[in-house]
Amino acid sequence: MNWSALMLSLQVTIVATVALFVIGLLLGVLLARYRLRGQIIIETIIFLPLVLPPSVIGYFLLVTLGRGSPIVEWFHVRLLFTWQSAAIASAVVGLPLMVQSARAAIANVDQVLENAARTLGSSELEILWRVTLPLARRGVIAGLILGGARALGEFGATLMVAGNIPGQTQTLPLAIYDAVQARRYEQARMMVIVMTAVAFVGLWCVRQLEQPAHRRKVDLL
Amino acid sequence: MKTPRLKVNIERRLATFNLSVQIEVGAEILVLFGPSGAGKTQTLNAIAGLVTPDAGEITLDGAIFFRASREARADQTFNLPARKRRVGYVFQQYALFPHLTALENVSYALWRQPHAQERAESLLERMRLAELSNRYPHELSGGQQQRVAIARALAMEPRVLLMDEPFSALDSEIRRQLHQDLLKLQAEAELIVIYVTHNLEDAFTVGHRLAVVRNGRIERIGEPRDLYPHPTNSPMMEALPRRGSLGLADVRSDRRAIEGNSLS
Repeated sequence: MNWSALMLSLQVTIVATVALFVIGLLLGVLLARYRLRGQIIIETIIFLPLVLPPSVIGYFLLVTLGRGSPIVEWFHVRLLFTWQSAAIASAVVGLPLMVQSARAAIANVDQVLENAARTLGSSELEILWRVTLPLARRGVIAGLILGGARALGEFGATLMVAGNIPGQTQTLPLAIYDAVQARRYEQARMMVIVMTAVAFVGLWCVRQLEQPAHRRKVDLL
Repeated sequence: MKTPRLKVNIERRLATFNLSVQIEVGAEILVLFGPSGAGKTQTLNAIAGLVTPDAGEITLDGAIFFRASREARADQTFNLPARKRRVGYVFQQYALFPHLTALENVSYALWRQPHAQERAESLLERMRLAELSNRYPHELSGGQQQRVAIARALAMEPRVLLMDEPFSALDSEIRRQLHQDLLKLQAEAELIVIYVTHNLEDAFTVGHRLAVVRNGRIERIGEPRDLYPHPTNSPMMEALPRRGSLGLADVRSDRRAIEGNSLS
């Protein structure tokens, strides 16, 4: 088992998931509750990573995070080939899943309840925190798990912007690729089992969250 | 009529008609009576600050809630946000927060205030709900939910209480009881109550004054005895549902349903 890759993957995934929570929630609220100018363009851009090849996302990120880009110039940071850029790549590919789920859940919250909170003296932020989010929590958590699982499995874009430096930017998916290339199948198998188990548990949780309270029971297994 | 305290004079362009309402309300229960879609709820929403009229003025005891002239630019409009108006609102479908208990619903507005719990408890007690304070809305009957909704609206001690078809989903026995409660509450707290209904019995039971609303306008306003439906009193008669035609349509659709079933 490649422990440094596992720890790095956890680190990258946690940071990416926190970013997903903040950004995804903000976008979910905006898209569910406000009519924005250019809404369709914004949505399309957010959902692009769902269909684009990872290499294309990697290319865009290279341009955005590479030398000469405004972000690098303004903040004087070096992002390429660091674990932080792996986290950014992971968050970008996880974002559509988070936004989709969060937006649907927020749109489902009865606006009359939000109006009731308004008449009871709540500010918009307070309403979000005390009414909308608690009622949309299943969808938000499901989106977070989906986005986080996708972030954990990120391979292509990460390879392009963060490289594949063992101990520094080599996450589990990259380590598996390396192990197979080097015919270290035993090592690869362990990591494959870990990844599959995490993904399975994550998706199982999402299904649980999406189940309506009352459902017909049919035994499939 | 008691001295007017809440003055409403608003205009708002809607899809089907133009809302144009002028009313003055004192410490009393004013019933807005009329068919659905007449603009009653729109009027309440404008007073609560949930929708913005195109022009007009809303004041409470001289304090301005909303003011805009027809020619005004957006930056010349004064519009106090709903959360700062302290207007109690009881919604048609109760609108209780489903993730909070009865007690938490009532103390929602008292967040960050001292003795919130005690105040919420005493309000629930006044509404005869003390034993149910830890129940969630889905564990309460319709009448109980509506009493929680009233307690919640009263928690921040509003001067104005707006009620949108508050008891329309309840059976008549519970409705009578709640009417009694409401009349008592209004008298005790000298509340300004605007009560929207399309139910004639409701209107005449609780209204100190009645306003007949149709197509976005107040057609008549006065005391109940002056407005009692009478063949010579056309606005009130026309505001009533036409029972005959409605009944016939129901019979027809019922019969069609039966025939459809027997064929299949």
